[in-house]
Amino acid sequence: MKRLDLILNGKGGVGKSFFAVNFVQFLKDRGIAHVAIDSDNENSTLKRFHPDTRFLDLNNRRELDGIFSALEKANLVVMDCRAASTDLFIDYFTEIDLPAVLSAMGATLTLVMPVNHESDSVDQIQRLADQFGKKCNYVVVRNASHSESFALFESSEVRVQLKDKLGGREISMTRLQDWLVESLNAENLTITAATKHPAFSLLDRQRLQTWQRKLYTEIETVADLLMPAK
Amino acid sequence: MTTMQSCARRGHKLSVSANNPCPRSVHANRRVRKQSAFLARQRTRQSANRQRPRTQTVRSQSAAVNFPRPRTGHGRNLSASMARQRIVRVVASPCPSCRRSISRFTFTSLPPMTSFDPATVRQAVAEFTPLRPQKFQDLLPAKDVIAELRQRRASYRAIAELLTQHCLPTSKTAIAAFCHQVLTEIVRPRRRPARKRPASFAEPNGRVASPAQSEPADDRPLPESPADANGSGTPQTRSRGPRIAQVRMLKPETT
Repeated sequence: MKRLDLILNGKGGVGKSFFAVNFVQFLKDRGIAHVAIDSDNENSTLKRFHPDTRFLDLNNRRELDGIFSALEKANLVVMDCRAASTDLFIDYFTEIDLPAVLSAMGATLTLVMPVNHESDSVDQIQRLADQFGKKCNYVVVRNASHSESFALFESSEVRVQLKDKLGGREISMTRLQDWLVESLNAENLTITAATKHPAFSLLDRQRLQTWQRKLYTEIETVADLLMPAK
Repeated sequence: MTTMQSCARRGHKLSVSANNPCPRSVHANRRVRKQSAFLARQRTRQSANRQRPRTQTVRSQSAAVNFPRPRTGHGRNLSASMARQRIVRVVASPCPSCRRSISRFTFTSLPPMTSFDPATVRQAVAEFTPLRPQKFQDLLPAKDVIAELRQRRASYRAIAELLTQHCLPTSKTAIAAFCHQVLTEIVRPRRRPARKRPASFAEPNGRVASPAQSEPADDRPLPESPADANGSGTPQTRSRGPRIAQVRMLKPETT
Protein backbone atom coordinates (compact mmCIF):
# COMPACT_ATOMS: atom_id res chain seq x y z
CA MET A 1 0.00 0.00 0.00
CA LYS A 2 1.48 3.30 -1.07
CA ARG A 3 1.54 6.23 1.29
CA LEU A 4 1.34 9.95 0.72
CA ASP A 5 2.42 11.99 3.73
CA LEU A 6 1.41 15.61 3.54
CA ILE A 7 3.02 17.76 6.22
CA LEU A 8 0.39 20.45 6.31
CA ASN A 9 -0.78 23.25 8.53
CA GLY A 10 -1.85 26.57 7.12
CA LYS A 11 -0.33 28.39 10.05
CA GLY A 12 3.26 29.42 9.45
CA GLY A 13 6.05 28.77 11.91
CA VAL A 14 4.51 25.70 13.50
CA GLY A 15 7.44 23.48 12.52
CA LYS A 16 6.32 21.91 9.25
CA SER A 17 9.64 22.24 7.51
CA PHE A 18 11.64 21.47 10.63
CA PHE A 19 9.74 18.25 11.11
CA ALA A 20 9.95 17.48 7.39
CA VAL A 21 13.73 17.84 7.38
CA ASN A 22 14.07 15.46 10.30
CA PHE A 23 11.43 13.04 9.05
CA VAL A 24 13.16 12.75 5.67
CA GLN A 25 16.41 12.25 7.53
CA PHE A 26 14.71 9.52 9.53
CA LEU A 27 13.69 7.80 6.28
CA LYS A 28 17.22 8.08 4.96
CA ASP A 29 18.72 6.77 8.18
CA ARG A 30 16.31 3.84 8.14
CA GLY A 31 16.87 3.20 4.47
CA ILE A 32 13.24 3.66 3.55
CA ALA A 33 12.76 4.50 -0.12
CA HIS A 34 10.79 7.64 -0.61
CA VAL A 35 10.36 10.77 -2.69
CA ALA A 36 10.54 14.08 -0.89
CA ILE A 37 8.78 17.11 -2.32
CA ASP A 38 9.06 20.73 -1.25
CA SER A 39 6.33 23.12 -2.28
CA ASP A 40 7.50 26.25 -0.52
CA ASN A 41 8.75 28.58 -3.20
CA GLU A 42 9.75 31.28 -0.73
CA ASN A 43 11.45 29.25 1.97
CA SER A 44 12.46 25.94 0.50
CA THR A 45 13.89 24.66 3.75
CA LEU A 46 13.47 20.99 2.95
CA LYS A 47 15.37 21.37 -0.31
CA ARG A 48 18.08 23.35 1.44
CA PHE A 49 18.81 20.55 3.86
CA HIS A 50 18.05 17.73 1.41
CA PRO A 51 19.10 18.89 -2.04
CA ASP A 52 17.69 15.76 -3.66
CA THR A 53 14.21 16.96 -2.79
CA ARG A 54 11.93 17.75 -5.70
CA PHE A 55 10.19 21.08 -5.95
CA LEU A 56 6.61 21.68 -6.98
CA ASP A 57 5.19 25.11 -7.71
CA LEU A 58 1.81 25.35 -6.04
CA ASN A 59 0.87 28.26 -8.26
CA ASN A 60 0.74 25.89 -11.21
CA ARG A 61 -2.20 23.61 -10.61
CA ARG A 62 -0.99 21.01 -13.08
CA GLU A 63 2.34 20.76 -11.30
CA LEU A 64 0.47 19.37 -8.35
CA ASP A 65 -0.21 16.31 -10.44
CA GLY A 66 3.48 15.60 -9.89
CA ILE A 67 2.56 14.40 -6.42
CA PHE A 68 0.73 11.44 -7.87
CA SER A 69 3.29 10.94 -10.61
CA ALA A 70 5.84 10.48 -7.87
CA LEU A 71 3.48 8.22 -5.99
CA GLU A 72 3.19 5.98 -9.05
CA LYS A 73 6.92 5.33 -8.95
CA ALA A 74 7.53 5.26 -5.21
CA ASN A 75 5.71 3.68 -2.31
CA LEU A 76 6.21 6.70 -0.11
CA VAL A 77 5.95 10.36 -0.99
CA VAL A 78 6.59 12.99 1.65
CA MET A 79 5.54 16.51 0.83
CA ASP A 80 6.32 19.60 2.85
CA CYS A 81 3.47 22.02 2.20
CA ARG A 82 4.05 25.68 2.59
CA ALA A 83 2.03 27.84 4.93
CA ALA A 84 -1.29 29.24 3.75
CA SER A 85 -1.81 26.37 1.36
CA THR A 86 -4.72 24.63 3.09
CA ASP A 87 -7.35 26.07 0.79
CA LEU A 88 -5.23 25.27 -2.20
CA PHE A 89 -4.91 21.61 -1.31
CA ILE A 90 -8.55 21.32 -0.37
CA ASP A 91 -9.56 22.73 -3.73
CA TYR A 92 -7.13 20.54 -5.58
CA PHE A 93 -8.20 17.36 -3.83
CA THR A 94 -11.83 18.23 -4.44
CA GLU A 95 -11.08 18.83 -8.09
CA ILE A 96 -9.38 15.49 -8.66
CA ASP A 97 -11.65 13.53 -6.31
CA LEU A 98 -8.87 12.44 -4.01
CA PRO A 99 -10.48 9.28 -2.61
CA ALA A 100 -11.00 7.94 -6.11
CA VAL A 101 -7.43 8.72 -7.12
CA LEU A 102 -5.98 7.15 -4.00
CA SER A 103 -8.16 4.11 -4.42
CA ALA A 104 -7.07 3.71 -8.03
CA MET A 105 -3.42 3.97 -7.02
CA GLY A 106 -3.79 1.76 -3.98
CA ALA A 107 -2.53 4.52 -1.76
CA THR A 108 -3.52 6.18 1.47
CA LEU A 109 -3.10 9.75 2.61
CA THR A 110 -1.75 10.80 5.96
CA LEU A 111 -1.93 14.38 7.08
CA VAL A 112 0.96 15.23 9.37
CA MET A 113 -0.08 18.38 11.20
CA PRO A 114 2.34 20.15 13.52
CA VAL A 115 0.65 22.15 16.22
CA ASN A 116 1.90 24.61 18.80
CA HIS A 117 0.43 26.78 21.52
CA GLU A 118 -1.31 29.18 19.12
CA SER A 119 -4.99 28.96 18.34
CA ASP A 120 -4.37 29.45 14.62
CA SER A 121 -2.51 26.18 14.40
CA VAL A 122 -5.32 24.39 16.24
CA ASP A 123 -7.87 26.02 14.01
CA GLN A 124 -6.05 24.75 10.94
CA ILE A 125 -6.18 21.20 12.27
CA GLN A 126 -9.86 21.64 12.92
CA ARG A 127 -10.40 22.78 9.34
CA LEU A 128 -8.52 19.84 7.92
CA ALA A 129 -10.34 17.35 10.11
CA ASP A 130 -13.68 18.88 9.19
CA GLN A 131 -12.80 18.83 5.52
CA PHE A 132 -11.25 15.40 5.11
CA GLY A 133 -13.08 13.44 7.77
CA LYS A 134 -12.27 9.78 7.36
CA LYS A 135 -10.72 10.17 3.95
CA CYS A 136 -7.22 10.14 5.44
CA ASN A 137 -5.14 9.39 8.50
CA TYR A 138 -3.94 12.01 10.92
CA VAL A 139 -0.75 12.51 12.87
CA VAL A 140 -0.49 15.55 15.09
CA VAL A 141 3.05 16.67 15.93
CA ARG A 142 3.12 18.61 19.14
CA ASN A 143 5.93 21.03 18.54
CA ALA A 144 7.37 22.28 21.83
CA SER A 145 9.94 24.56 20.26
CA HIS A 146 8.10 27.69 21.41
CA SER A 147 6.11 26.45 24.33
CA GLU A 148 5.52 23.18 26.11
CA SER A 149 1.96 24.15 26.88
CA PHE A 150 -0.70 22.85 24.52
CA ALA A 151 -3.68 23.91 26.59
CA LEU A 152 -5.63 25.19 23.61
CA PHE A 153 -5.17 22.05 21.60
CA GLU A 154 -5.82 19.78 24.57
CA SER A 155 -9.08 21.50 25.37
CA SER A 156 -10.25 21.64 21.78
CA GLU A 157 -12.97 19.56 20.25
CA VAL A 158 -10.84 18.61 17.32
CA ARG A 159 -8.41 16.73 19.49
CA VAL A 160 -11.18 14.50 20.79
CA GLN A 161 -12.58 14.22 17.30
CA LEU A 162 -9.24 13.10 15.93
CA LYS A 163 -8.53 10.61 18.69
CA ASP A 164 -11.96 9.10 19.10
CA LYS A 165 -13.54 9.29 15.68
CA LEU A 166 -10.82 9.66 13.08
CA GLY A 167 -8.08 7.46 14.46
CA GLY A 168 -5.58 10.26 14.73
CA ARG A 169 -2.40 9.95 16.75
CA GLU A 170 -0.08 12.38 18.42
CA ILE A 171 3.64 12.56 18.73
CA SER A 172 5.88 15.13 20.39
CA MET A 173 8.81 17.05 19.04
CA THR A 174 10.84 18.40 21.91
CA ARG A 175 12.67 21.66 21.93
CA LEU A 176 16.11 21.78 20.42
CA GLN A 177 18.48 24.33 21.86
CA ASP A 178 18.62 27.61 19.98
CA TRP A 179 22.33 27.58 19.32
CA LEU A 180 22.11 24.12 17.87
CA VAL A 181 19.30 25.14 15.52
CA GLU A 182 21.32 28.18 14.49
CA SER A 183 24.45 26.15 13.88
CA LEU A 184 22.56 23.58 11.83
CA ASN A 185 21.09 26.36 9.70
CA ALA A 186 24.41 28.12 9.37
CA GLU A 187 25.99 24.97 7.96
CA ASN A 188 22.86 23.64 6.22
CA LEU A 189 23.38 20.37 8.02
CA THR A 190 20.87 17.82 9.11
CA ILE A 191 21.34 16.38 12.56
CA THR A 192 22.76 13.15 11.19
CA ALA A 193 25.35 15.10 9.22
CA ALA A 194 26.08 17.40 12.14
CA THR A 195 26.90 14.52 14.45
CA LYS A 196 29.88 13.82 12.20
CA HIS A 197 30.81 17.42 11.52
CA PRO A 198 33.83 19.05 13.19
CA ALA A 199 31.99 22.34 13.59
CA PHE A 200 30.04 20.80 16.45
CA SER A 201 31.61 20.01 19.77
CA LEU A 202 31.33 16.60 21.36
CA LEU A 203 28.69 17.75 23.78
CA ASP A 204 26.68 19.47 21.09
CA ARG A 205 26.84 16.34 18.99
CA GLN A 206 25.59 14.40 22.00
CA ARG A 207 22.75 16.84 22.46
CA LEU A 208 21.81 16.50 18.83
CA GLN A 209 21.88 12.72 18.99
CA THR A 210 19.73 12.69 22.10
CA TRP A 211 17.19 14.95 20.54
CA GLN A 212 17.13 12.96 17.34
CA ARG A 213 16.74 9.69 19.18
CA LYS A 214 13.69 11.01 20.97
CA LEU A 215 12.10 12.17 17.74
CA TYR A 216 12.83 8.91 15.96
CA THR A 217 11.22 7.03 18.84
CA GLU A 218 8.14 9.19 18.51
CA ILE A 219 8.02 8.71 14.76
CA GLU A 220 8.26 4.96 15.14
CA THR A 221 5.19 4.96 17.34
CA VAL A 222 3.17 6.18 14.41
CA ALA A 223 5.07 4.35 11.71
CA ASP A 224 1.94 2.47 10.68
CA LEU A 225 0.41 5.82 9.70
CA LEU A 226 3.49 7.25 8.06
CA MET A 227 5.10 4.35 6.25
CA PRO A 228 3.83 2.30 3.33
CA ALA A 229 1.85 -0.70 4.50
CA LYS A 230 3.49 -4.03 3.81
CA MET B 1 10.94 74.72 -29.07
CA THR B 2 8.35 77.42 -29.36
CA THR B 3 7.93 79.65 -32.31
CA MET B 4 9.22 82.61 -30.40
CA GLN B 5 12.35 80.80 -29.40
CA SER B 6 12.99 79.61 -32.90
CA CYS B 7 12.56 83.10 -34.25
CA ALA B 8 14.88 84.55 -31.68
CA ARG B 9 17.51 81.96 -32.49
CA ARG B 10 17.36 82.91 -36.14
CA GLY B 11 18.11 86.52 -35.29
CA HIS B 12 14.72 87.94 -36.22
CA LYS B 13 13.59 90.92 -34.28
CA LEU B 14 10.11 90.29 -33.17
CA SER B 15 8.00 93.13 -32.10
CA VAL B 16 5.82 90.74 -30.15
CA SER B 17 7.46 89.68 -26.95
CA ALA B 18 6.61 86.63 -24.90
CA ASN B 19 7.32 88.70 -21.82
CA ASN B 20 4.98 91.43 -22.80
CA PRO B 21 4.35 93.49 -19.67
CA CYS B 22 0.91 94.47 -20.86
CA PRO B 23 -1.67 91.95 -19.70
CA ARG B 24 -3.52 90.53 -22.64
CA SER B 25 -6.74 88.74 -22.95
CA VAL B 26 -6.69 85.06 -23.82
CA HIS B 27 -7.97 85.87 -27.27
CA ALA B 28 -5.21 88.36 -27.86
CA ASN B 29 -2.58 85.80 -26.84
CA ARG B 30 -4.14 83.23 -29.12
CA ARG B 31 -3.91 85.71 -31.95
CA VAL B 32 -0.27 86.24 -31.16
CA ARG B 33 0.42 82.53 -31.16
CA LYS B 34 -1.41 81.97 -34.42
CA GLN B 35 0.32 84.82 -36.14
CA SER B 36 3.67 83.77 -34.78
CA ALA B 37 3.14 80.32 -36.20
CA PHE B 38 2.22 81.86 -39.50
CA LEU B 39 5.35 83.96 -39.44
CA ALA B 40 7.45 80.93 -38.67
CA ARG B 41 6.05 79.11 -41.66
CA GLN B 42 6.62 82.12 -43.83
CA ARG B 43 10.18 82.48 -42.66
CA THR B 44 10.84 78.86 -43.40
CA ARG B 45 10.00 79.60 -47.00
CA GLN B 46 12.45 82.51 -46.92
CA SER B 47 15.30 80.41 -45.67
CA ALA B 48 17.51 81.36 -48.63
CA ASN B 49 18.50 84.59 -46.98
CA ARG B 50 17.57 84.74 -43.36
CA GLN B 51 19.30 88.01 -42.61
CA ARG B 52 17.36 90.11 -45.03
CA PRO B 53 14.86 92.55 -43.60
CA ARG B 54 11.36 91.44 -42.91
CA THR B 55 8.72 92.03 -45.48
CA GLN B 56 5.99 94.60 -45.25
CA THR B 57 3.45 91.83 -44.71
CA VAL B 58 5.21 90.72 -41.60
CA ARG B 59 5.43 94.24 -40.28
CA SER B 60 1.80 94.86 -40.76
CA GLN B 61 0.90 91.66 -38.98
CA SER B 62 3.16 92.54 -36.12
CA ALA B 63 1.54 95.90 -35.92
CA ALA B 64 -1.83 94.29 -35.76
CA VAL B 65 -0.66 92.18 -32.91
CA ASN B 66 0.79 95.11 -31.07
CA PHE B 67 -2.26 97.24 -31.57
CA PRO B 68 -5.08 95.04 -30.54
CA ARG B 69 -8.59 96.24 -30.78
CA PRO B 70 -10.15 97.55 -27.62
CA ARG B 71 -11.01 94.74 -25.32
CA THR B 72 -14.57 94.05 -24.52
CA GLY B 73 -14.63 92.61 -21.13
CA HIS B 74 -12.17 89.75 -21.33
CA GLY B 75 -9.12 89.98 -19.15
CA ARG B 76 -8.14 92.82 -16.90
CA ASN B 77 -8.42 96.45 -17.77
CA LEU B 78 -5.71 98.65 -16.43
CA SER B 79 -6.85 101.89 -17.98
CA ALA B 80 -9.07 104.40 -16.28
CA SER B 81 -11.71 104.29 -18.94
CA MET B 82 -12.56 102.53 -22.14
CA ALA B 83 -11.10 105.39 -24.12
CA ARG B 84 -7.76 104.90 -22.46
CA GLN B 85 -7.60 101.28 -23.20
CA ARG B 86 -6.02 101.91 -26.53
CA ILE B 87 -2.40 101.15 -26.06
CA VAL B 88 0.37 102.09 -28.35
CA ARG B 89 3.93 101.04 -28.71
CA VAL B 90 6.26 103.92 -28.05
CA VAL B 91 9.71 102.38 -27.85
CA ALA B 92 11.14 99.05 -28.81
CA SER B 93 14.40 98.51 -27.07
CA PRO B 94 16.43 95.31 -27.34
CA CYS B 95 16.56 93.10 -24.34
CA PRO B 96 20.20 92.97 -23.19
CA SER B 97 20.05 89.26 -22.44
CA CYS B 98 18.29 87.85 -25.49
CA ARG B 99 18.36 90.75 -27.91
CA ARG B 100 14.64 90.44 -28.28
CA SER B 101 12.57 93.51 -28.73
CA ILE B 102 10.51 94.49 -25.76
CA SER B 103 7.53 96.74 -26.27
CA ARG B 104 6.64 99.36 -23.78
CA PHE B 105 3.20 100.80 -23.53
CA THR B 106 1.75 103.88 -22.05
CA PHE B 107 -1.61 105.56 -21.81
CA THR B 108 -2.45 107.91 -24.59
CA SER B 109 -4.27 110.49 -22.47
CA LEU B 110 -1.36 111.24 -20.21
CA PRO B 111 1.52 113.26 -21.59
CA PRO B 112 4.93 111.64 -21.26
CA MET B 113 6.83 112.86 -18.27
CA THR B 114 10.37 114.06 -18.57
CA SER B 115 10.88 113.64 -14.84
CA PHE B 116 8.99 111.95 -12.08
CA ASP B 117 6.23 114.22 -10.84
CA PRO B 118 4.47 112.83 -7.79
CA ALA B 119 1.50 115.13 -8.26
CA THR B 120 0.87 113.95 -11.79
CA VAL B 121 1.22 110.37 -10.78
CA ARG B 122 -1.08 110.97 -7.89
CA GLN B 123 -3.65 112.41 -10.27
CA ALA B 124 -3.34 109.43 -12.54
CA VAL B 125 -3.76 107.13 -9.60
CA ALA B 126 -6.83 109.03 -8.48
CA GLU B 127 -8.33 108.72 -11.92
CA PHE B 128 -7.53 105.05 -12.13
CA THR B 129 -10.64 103.02 -11.64
CA PRO B 130 -10.40 99.50 -12.89
CA LEU B 131 -13.35 98.76 -15.03
CA ARG B 132 -14.52 95.28 -14.21
CA PRO B 133 -16.81 93.80 -16.78
CA GLN B 134 -20.13 92.68 -15.50
CA LYS B 135 -20.42 88.97 -15.42
CA PHE B 136 -22.30 87.57 -18.40
CA GLN B 137 -22.71 91.08 -19.77
CA ASP B 138 -22.86 89.66 -23.28
CA LEU B 139 -25.45 87.06 -22.41
CA LEU B 140 -27.65 89.10 -20.11
CA PRO B 141 -29.58 90.74 -22.98
CA ALA B 142 -30.44 87.24 -24.15
CA LYS B 143 -31.53 86.08 -20.72
CA ASP B 144 -35.17 85.67 -21.65
CA VAL B 145 -34.29 83.85 -24.83
CA ILE B 146 -32.01 81.45 -23.03
CA ALA B 147 -34.57 80.84 -20.31
CA GLU B 148 -37.22 80.09 -22.89
CA LEU B 149 -34.92 77.75 -24.75
CA ARG B 150 -34.12 75.95 -21.54
CA GLN B 151 -37.82 75.59 -20.81
CA ARG B 152 -38.10 73.94 -24.19
CA ARG B 153 -35.38 71.55 -23.03
CA ALA B 154 -32.76 72.92 -25.37
CA SER B 155 -29.27 71.76 -24.57
CA TYR B 156 -26.46 74.15 -23.72
CA ARG B 157 -24.80 73.28 -26.98
CA ALA B 158 -27.95 73.99 -28.99
CA ILE B 159 -28.42 77.35 -27.27
CA ALA B 160 -24.79 78.29 -27.87
CA GLU B 161 -25.05 77.39 -31.53
CA LEU B 162 -28.28 79.31 -31.94
CA LEU B 163 -26.89 82.45 -30.31
CA THR B 164 -23.68 82.18 -32.29
CA GLN B 165 -25.71 82.07 -35.48
CA HIS B 166 -27.47 85.24 -34.36
CA CYS B 167 -24.35 87.33 -33.81
CA LEU B 168 -23.85 86.49 -30.18
CA PRO B 169 -20.87 84.15 -30.24
CA THR B 170 -20.68 82.06 -27.13
CA SER B 171 -19.89 78.56 -26.00
CA LYS B 172 -21.86 75.79 -24.38
CA THR B 173 -19.71 76.13 -21.25
CA ALA B 174 -20.62 79.80 -20.95
CA ILE B 175 -24.29 78.97 -21.48
CA ALA B 176 -24.08 76.27 -18.81
CA ALA B 177 -22.48 78.66 -16.33
CA PHE B 178 -25.05 81.31 -17.21
CA CYS B 179 -27.91 78.90 -16.65
CA HIS B 180 -26.50 77.74 -13.34
CA GLN B 181 -25.58 81.12 -11.93
CA VAL B 182 -28.10 83.50 -13.48
CA LEU B 183 -31.07 81.28 -14.15
CA THR B 184 -30.25 79.32 -10.97
CA GLU B 185 -30.72 75.96 -12.55
CA ILE B 186 -30.15 73.09 -10.16
CA VAL B 187 -26.97 71.26 -10.85
CA ARG B 188 -27.53 67.56 -10.39
CA PRO B 189 -24.27 65.67 -10.34
CA ARG B 190 -24.29 62.40 -12.14
CA ARG B 191 -24.70 59.50 -9.79
CA ARG B 192 -23.25 56.11 -10.35
CA PRO B 193 -25.74 53.33 -10.31
CA ALA B 194 -25.82 51.76 -6.89
CA ARG B 195 -23.83 48.58 -6.55
CA LYS B 196 -25.93 45.55 -6.25
CA ARG B 197 -25.36 43.87 -2.94
CA PRO B 198 -24.88 40.16 -3.17
CA ALA B 199 -27.60 37.99 -1.77
CA SER B 200 -25.16 36.45 0.67
CA PHE B 201 -22.04 37.77 2.27
CA ALA B 202 -19.00 36.09 3.66
CA GLU B 203 -18.23 36.20 7.32
CA PRO B 204 -14.68 36.80 8.44
CA ASN B 205 -14.31 33.18 9.25
CA GLY B 206 -14.88 32.16 5.69
CA ARG B 207 -18.41 30.94 6.15
CA VAL B 208 -21.09 32.16 3.82
CA ALA B 209 -24.17 33.49 5.48
CA SER B 210 -27.35 35.05 4.21
CA PRO B 211 -28.40 38.47 5.50
CA ALA B 212 -31.81 37.08 6.31
CA GLN B 213 -30.35 34.12 8.11
CA SER B 214 -31.54 33.87 11.65
CA GLU B 215 -29.14 33.44 14.50
CA PRO B 216 -28.45 29.83 15.38
CA ALA B 217 -29.66 28.65 18.74
CA ASP B 218 -26.17 27.57 19.68
CA ASP B 219 -23.65 30.36 20.07
CA ARG B 220 -20.76 28.16 19.15
CA PRO B 221 -19.44 28.64 15.63
CA LEU B 222 -20.52 26.02 13.20
CA PRO B 223 -17.95 23.90 11.45
CA GLU B 224 -16.88 25.49 8.20
CA SER B 225 -17.59 22.62 5.88
CA PRO B 226 -17.89 19.51 7.93
CA ALA B 227 -17.64 16.20 6.22
CA ASP B 228 -20.07 13.60 7.30
CA ALA B 229 -19.07 10.44 9.06
CA ASN B 230 -18.19 8.78 5.79
CA GLY B 231 -16.30 11.78 4.55
CA SER B 232 -18.65 12.29 1.64
CA GLY B 233 -19.65 15.85 2.49
CA THR B 234 -19.17 18.43 -0.21
CA PRO B 235 -17.18 21.52 0.74
CA GLN B 236 -18.93 24.88 0.81
CA THR B 237 -17.68 27.86 -1.09
CA ARG B 238 -15.03 29.56 0.98
CA SER B 239 -14.29 33.22 1.17
CA ARG B 240 -10.83 34.46 0.32
CA GLY B 241 -11.08 37.20 2.88
CA PRO B 242 -9.57 37.30 6.33
CA ARG B 243 -10.09 34.25 8.43
CA ILE B 244 -9.98 34.45 12.19
CA ALA B 245 -9.27 31.30 14.12
CA GLN B 246 -12.28 30.01 15.99
CA VAL B 247 -11.28 26.89 17.83
CA ARG B 248 -14.19 24.86 19.07
CA MET B 249 -13.45 24.09 22.67
CA LEU B 250 -14.71 21.14 24.63
CA LYS B 251 -17.66 21.68 26.89
CA PRO B 252 -16.83 21.73 30.61
CA GLU B 253 -18.52 18.41 31.34
CA THR B 254 -16.49 16.56 28.73
CA THR B 255 -13.12 17.68 30.08
